[in-house]
Amino acid sequence: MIDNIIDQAWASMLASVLKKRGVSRVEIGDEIDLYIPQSRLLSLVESDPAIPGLLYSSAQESARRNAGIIVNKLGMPPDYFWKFEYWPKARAFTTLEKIVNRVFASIMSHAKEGNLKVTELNIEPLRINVTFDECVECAGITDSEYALCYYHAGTLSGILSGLIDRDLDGFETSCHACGGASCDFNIGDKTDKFIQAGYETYINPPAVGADLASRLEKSLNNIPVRAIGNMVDINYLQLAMANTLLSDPENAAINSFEAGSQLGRRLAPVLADFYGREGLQSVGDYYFQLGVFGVEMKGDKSRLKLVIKECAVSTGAVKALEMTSFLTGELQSLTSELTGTEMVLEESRFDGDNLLLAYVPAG
Amino acid sequence: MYRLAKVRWFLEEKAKILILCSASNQPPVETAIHSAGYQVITAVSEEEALHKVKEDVPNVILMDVMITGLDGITLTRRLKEDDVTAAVPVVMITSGTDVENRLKALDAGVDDFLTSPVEEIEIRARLNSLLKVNAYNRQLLGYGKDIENEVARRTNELTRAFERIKIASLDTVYRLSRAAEYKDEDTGAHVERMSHYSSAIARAMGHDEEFVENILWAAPMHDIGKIGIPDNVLQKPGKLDAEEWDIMKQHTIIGGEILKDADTDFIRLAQEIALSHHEKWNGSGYPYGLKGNDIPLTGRIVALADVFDALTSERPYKQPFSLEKALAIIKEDSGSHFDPDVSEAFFSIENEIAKELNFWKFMSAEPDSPDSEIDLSNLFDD
Repeated sequence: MIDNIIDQAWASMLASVLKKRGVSRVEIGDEIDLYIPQSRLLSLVESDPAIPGLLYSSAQESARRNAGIIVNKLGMPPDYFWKFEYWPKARAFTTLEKIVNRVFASIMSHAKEGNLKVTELNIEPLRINVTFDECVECAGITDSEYALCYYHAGTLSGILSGLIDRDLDGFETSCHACGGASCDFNIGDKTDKFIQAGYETYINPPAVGADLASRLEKSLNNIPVRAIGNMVDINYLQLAMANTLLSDPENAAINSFEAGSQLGRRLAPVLADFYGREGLQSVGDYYFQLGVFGVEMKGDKSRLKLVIKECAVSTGAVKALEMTSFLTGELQSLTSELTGTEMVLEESRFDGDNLLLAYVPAG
Repeated sequence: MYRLAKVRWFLEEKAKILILCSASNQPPVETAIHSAGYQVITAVSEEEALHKVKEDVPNVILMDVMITGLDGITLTRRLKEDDVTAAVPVVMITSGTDVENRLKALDAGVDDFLTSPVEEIEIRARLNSLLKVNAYNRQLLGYGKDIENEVARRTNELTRAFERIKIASLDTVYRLSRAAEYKDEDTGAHVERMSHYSSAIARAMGHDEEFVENILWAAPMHDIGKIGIPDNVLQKPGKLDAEEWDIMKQHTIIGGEILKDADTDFIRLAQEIALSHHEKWNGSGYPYGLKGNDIPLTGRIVALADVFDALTSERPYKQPFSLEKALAIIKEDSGSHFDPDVSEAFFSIENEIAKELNFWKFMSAEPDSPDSEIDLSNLFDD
């Protein structure tokens, strides 16, 4: 199920590059503020020290599978990278750079995920340096002590693994979030001791944290956090969220709900302050402004019913309640904080293209 | 010195003794071993003993089977047949008079006997001696493994070094081949494309990966002899006259000369290809007018791949033919120009070839040109 969502999201991003995809969200459009996927990934990473590794592995696995599918569909001969480890360095670099730029950099740039570039290659030991400029995962965050683009570290090593059909791993050597000019990754053989050591340190940071409240203020005030703008394709959000669920969908959905709930508590005062509106009005304004969904609220705080339209995490081919778990957790806290009554999720289901949620007072 | 240190280290570990005995007979032996400072693992059946041994290999196995009727002989045989447990000393407790069973046990691989009733001092002395044997055995096994690993590492290094030399020389020849193509067609991409078509056909014909790999690397050298053709012939914009055509045909012979007397398989294969890729199945080709199976298989495969790529590529004097038109020409010439079996293999992978054709267009197109927008609509088919 989650595999399918990931494959669909990859295919949809590719379709967008090829101009074969129409807009799936007629009212809101198919872009969202990058704060949304960013805050979700970071909240999860903060919630559990195992998440960086899980996120990396899931992203790597799905990127490798899809890179393989894409180059196969592209018609790349199966022996195109045959004996790559023995290729002359210059030829290896030119060929890899060309196909990465033409295919994968093009997909990622079109989705406004960032600008991918292969910058250096060494054949033995195999080390590929890539730069990911304008990175969606960390844009606008400047106060992190550690590099934190785990999803992209997994994705980029997965793409290169799928492309040359070798088991690669990678880690981030520079990250915009901790003062780097760009996010740079060093990728090499899984068995390479240097890569293993770099990966182990990278994936097990002592603590990761970012001030998501002040990061949110930048998005609410339309302050550009990167040169290519603050918006990103909704397929990226779907891919990122699906990858957080891939290893163990049921438990990951529960953790995701909890992480969403904690983020909601941190954000409620920011929203109330920014919109200056009573009660729940600011919730609808917030999600609509950042391109997450449009909402119609019914009932009162004895049973608050939300009809969510064009929801970014469950639109197009994606109809899975697991995908909405972070959002429903976040909404539970926001409704609780902004109504002054502790609310709990009572109902969550799809009604056609809409997502229906109902919250009732706890107990 | 190193070996002695290792043996000492083994002995200093708290040695594990597995005792196979009935529950009723367990305490005296177990107590004696415990008091000697060893770690005791007990099993009351042969299957349990085997299971525990696999889980955590002990240093000595002690079988008190005399009274219980447990089959210590079969168990010993199974332990000695397994590489993991073969070196673990097995001690059997028997009566002093049971010579027949002792002989059977020795035959099965039992290393020592204790006579019932067993004295604590005797157990300690015997175990101490057997633990030293076990430590030496383990050290020797480890030493053998170290040698095996070292040999594997060196072999791997040599293989890689050989591969590197092979690829480095291939790369040199590959570049020469591209140089010949540059002279002829403004692009070196032809050799890359046609060599991948060649390997795809070879694979479709069911050849092994070694053959497929060799043809992949040898095929690019098919036109290397063009280096020896004068520019006024090679680059003539119009049609060649008879004399010029005769000169042009010489590229196969020149290629064969350049590549002859090679020590390596793939260069010998490349020579075969250079000489034979313009031969035709019906005998009307050149340079020797070979016919049917007299033409080397590699030459027959490369002939088709070379023509297909020429048909589907842009040349100074022509636009690329459509895939359909190129396929129709290949089909029409099957049995005359091309080996029917090679054609059949080629058409069996028609879809793969069509995709590869798209890939080459995509890779060679300038960004934002129509060909850079490859048709990937089938990505969503499955």
